[in-house]
Amino acid sequence: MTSGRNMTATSAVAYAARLAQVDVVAAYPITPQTRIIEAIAKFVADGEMKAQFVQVESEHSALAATIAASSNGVRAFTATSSQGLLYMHEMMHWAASARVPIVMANVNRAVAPPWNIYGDHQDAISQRDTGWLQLFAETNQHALDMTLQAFRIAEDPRVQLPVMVNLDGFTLSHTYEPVVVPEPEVVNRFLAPRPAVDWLDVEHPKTINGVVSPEHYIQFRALQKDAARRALVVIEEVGEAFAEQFCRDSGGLLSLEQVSDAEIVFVALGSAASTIRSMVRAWRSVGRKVGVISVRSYRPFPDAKMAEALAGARVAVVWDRAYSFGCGGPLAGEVKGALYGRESRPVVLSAVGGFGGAPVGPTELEKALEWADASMQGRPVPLETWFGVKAYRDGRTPDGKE
Amino acid sequence: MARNETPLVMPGNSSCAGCGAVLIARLVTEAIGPNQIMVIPACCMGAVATSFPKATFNVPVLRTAFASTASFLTGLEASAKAKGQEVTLVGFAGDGATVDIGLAALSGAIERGHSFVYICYDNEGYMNTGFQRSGSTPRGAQTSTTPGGALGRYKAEPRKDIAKIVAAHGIPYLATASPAYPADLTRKVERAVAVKGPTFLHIMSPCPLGWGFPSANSVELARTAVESGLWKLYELDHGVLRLSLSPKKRKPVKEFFAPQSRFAHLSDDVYEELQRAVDEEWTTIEKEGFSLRCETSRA
Amino acid sequence: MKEVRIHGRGGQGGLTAARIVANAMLKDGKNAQAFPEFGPERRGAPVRSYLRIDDRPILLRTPVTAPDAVVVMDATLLERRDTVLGIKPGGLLVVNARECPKVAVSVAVRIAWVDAMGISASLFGRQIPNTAMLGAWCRVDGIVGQAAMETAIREWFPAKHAEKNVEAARRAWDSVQVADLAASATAEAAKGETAFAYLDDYPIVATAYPGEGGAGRTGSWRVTDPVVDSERCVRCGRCVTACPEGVVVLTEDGVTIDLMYCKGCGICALECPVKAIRSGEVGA
Repeated sequence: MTSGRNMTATSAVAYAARLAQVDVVAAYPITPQTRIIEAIAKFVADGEMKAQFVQVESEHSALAATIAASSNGVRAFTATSSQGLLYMHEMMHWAASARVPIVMANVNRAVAPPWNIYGDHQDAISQRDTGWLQLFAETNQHALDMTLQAFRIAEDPRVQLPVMVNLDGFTLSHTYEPVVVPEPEVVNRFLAPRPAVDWLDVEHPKTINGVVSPEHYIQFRALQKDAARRALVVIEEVGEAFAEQFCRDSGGLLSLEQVSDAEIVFVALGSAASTIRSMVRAWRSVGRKVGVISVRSYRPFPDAKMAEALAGARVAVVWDRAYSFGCGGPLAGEVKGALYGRESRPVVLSAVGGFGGAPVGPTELEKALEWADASMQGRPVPLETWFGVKAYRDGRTPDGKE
Repeated sequence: MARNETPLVMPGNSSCAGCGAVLIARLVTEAIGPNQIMVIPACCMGAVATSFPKATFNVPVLRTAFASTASFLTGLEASAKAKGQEVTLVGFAGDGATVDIGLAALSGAIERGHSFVYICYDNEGYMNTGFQRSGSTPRGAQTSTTPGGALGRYKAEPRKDIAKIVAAHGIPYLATASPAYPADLTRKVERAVAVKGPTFLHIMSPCPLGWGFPSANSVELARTAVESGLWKLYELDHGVLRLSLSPKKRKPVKEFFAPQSRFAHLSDDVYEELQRAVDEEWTTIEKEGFSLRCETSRA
Repeated sequence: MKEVRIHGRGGQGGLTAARIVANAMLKDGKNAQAFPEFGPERRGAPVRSYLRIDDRPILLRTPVTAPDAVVVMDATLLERRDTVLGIKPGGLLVVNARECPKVAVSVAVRIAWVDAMGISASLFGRQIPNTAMLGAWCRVDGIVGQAAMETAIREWFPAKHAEKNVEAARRAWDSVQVADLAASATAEAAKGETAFAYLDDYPIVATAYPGEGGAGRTGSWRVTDPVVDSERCVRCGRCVTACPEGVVVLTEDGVTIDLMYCKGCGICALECPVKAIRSGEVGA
């Protein structure tokens, strides 16, 4: 029995912004994000949402305007994708270091060139070190629920950092599936108005974010670092509170399925984790001990929880839809980092693929399972494999970082 | 209003002796009064705004990145509307942050019609970082990136006229001003505050270090620029263009250029050419009236 | 390794002095490292420069905190405790002053003084004390011989300025005086910002509150003092409006200027329509 309405993740996010009673939305259109701001513009035009909606002249200005609005104490929201996110980069750092609790939906899309509008995670991962918290949605319902949770996390006095809610381009943004839109009264019980800030109080003037000397500069970075670590606690608390109120598990740091007794555990971000879940259920039905970890919070990265979850596994297959050139899969690197010094830990295999809309589907996942099996049986296997990549004419494959 | 007893720009700040920009900042801030929020990007006044933990301005200041003055004003205006807050929003930016890196944001914010007062204090280059050329550096100037050198590579191009660019947006109110004419400047700031929608003030800001003249001459040099006819004081108020001042007997332009080391290489031939250009312009103004038509070539 | 710290004001050429010595060292087959106090330089604001000299390549890349020599281009900087802070026992303090300056040091040092301002004023008509200070410093320190020093100066400046600068250095070389200075103060660093002793003393974003003197007592930047003739003053207020710093105030008694913060730009004197303000010698 399914409740809710069929809608895309972009609509779900727009409903979330409306339910959160966002005061200011400043944005610039880009595929596949456009449907979010079109929906918000329509809500505002129909008088269903009170927000000030401003379509600005660039993404750099979109985030800048959102930061300024948030600095003046209101609840502010924006959304973007890919090139737009990259164009925001300077202001991405600014938003986090200015400690404004903005929420932004990032509809994940490949980065040009060559030009490609379909999904992967290179855009989000390239903003990894800006100081934003990053959540990843597996489903359209998550996109709505995580956006609501994101405001509560961002505005928590222990955190006060911007949150990016990632939803995969097209796979989620343009797919219609059932989504439950909660009643405003229920949302109001979950999400209180934003706590007041006095940064721009004309009665008590002060200058915010000015020049400081080396002695002081690192202190602000240290406070920011601690806030991002505290978010580990807050995200879990907020996820639990949400689950209690709405009877849905769509938050927290990691979502584990069939992990406790698994020999092989897949680790992935976003909608790929959903596909892997379906494969895990199929594999389980034929007796394979396979599990999956969906990383819902990429930043802060729940390293201790990840290490604990993987302690019993023999092989972890970490799926990256982004790459750090000259190094490796970013998520794989972080999983390995989490396992450092742990006595009980699996072999980590880095699976790379699903770029620019290429599938992370049954074909790729079956191959990955064979690879994990081979590793488990002690056969020599590459530690990194690119999926969907053709061989060179001389037969070499681009797979191997040995 | 007890706060008015204390200055709105605090003394003992880190501005250079004789700084034109901080003088403009003081005149502008005092003209607007305490009910304002200032946005200052990377620029000289951005550096002067704080000596942490002390602030120079006795009004709220939100510092921003180089390109983002107008987009911050956009966001502040939206938030003020959302809160029902009545406050004057002021952008205070140098020429680099306005005519170069911040131009797209400025253009967008004016086009969208947000209410703000945007002040461009124009010291004709990137003075905070050691006098590099900007799009507002006049032709012929020596800067650290147009150093002249053995090949005589000074700034070869005329400055872009930001006021005309802004005027082309159909902005409700636009004015030029000079720290040598404080009453005129103050009146224009007050008018800008009263006008609904975007307003823009372009103010000449002499820089003793960057331009190379004694700090005592900042105001005098700004006055000479007006009296020689080089820096025109005017305003464009809802489509009505008016010169604020027509120097009756114009000073030779050489009196503006010669005291500045950045123009030390100019020969008398060049001065004659510059003089001729200014004379022609004013002859046209006297004959046909003042307009914002685009000259093909400017000094 | 020898370490030198130069205290001057923006525009006095402290880094130039360090770089000229560094160039002379290079010719001598030695390694040198000259660098400024990084950050925006404001004309008149206190600023430091640093010099290290060694036979071996210099790898240390931090400011000099325990100098063998401290060169003070402007005697008013001796009011700041950090000017002589950290100077080594038996170190050298070279000051731009007509007479032996009064300064408290925590260890016994040699003090040298020279009227670099006078030399500079007579040769350049302006106060650019750096080459005169260079001459005095090289003489008493012995780091560079007179001939090598003069060569380095000649190579630094364009031909039209070179000889005057050599002459400035030579006059200082000849007129510098030296004395022993006994320890008279306790070695203690200037107290830092006690308001920020702990991490939790900080707000989450850099928040600055309006306050006078953010850049210190900027009155010490002055190279000339504004002198008001109240008899002449017509109370027009033009000086008040034209003062960038906002330190000129019109009262019933006429014009008063807050000398704690007046940077001595001289605009008020130039703008006064009745010449009731003039630029006079500092502290006269």
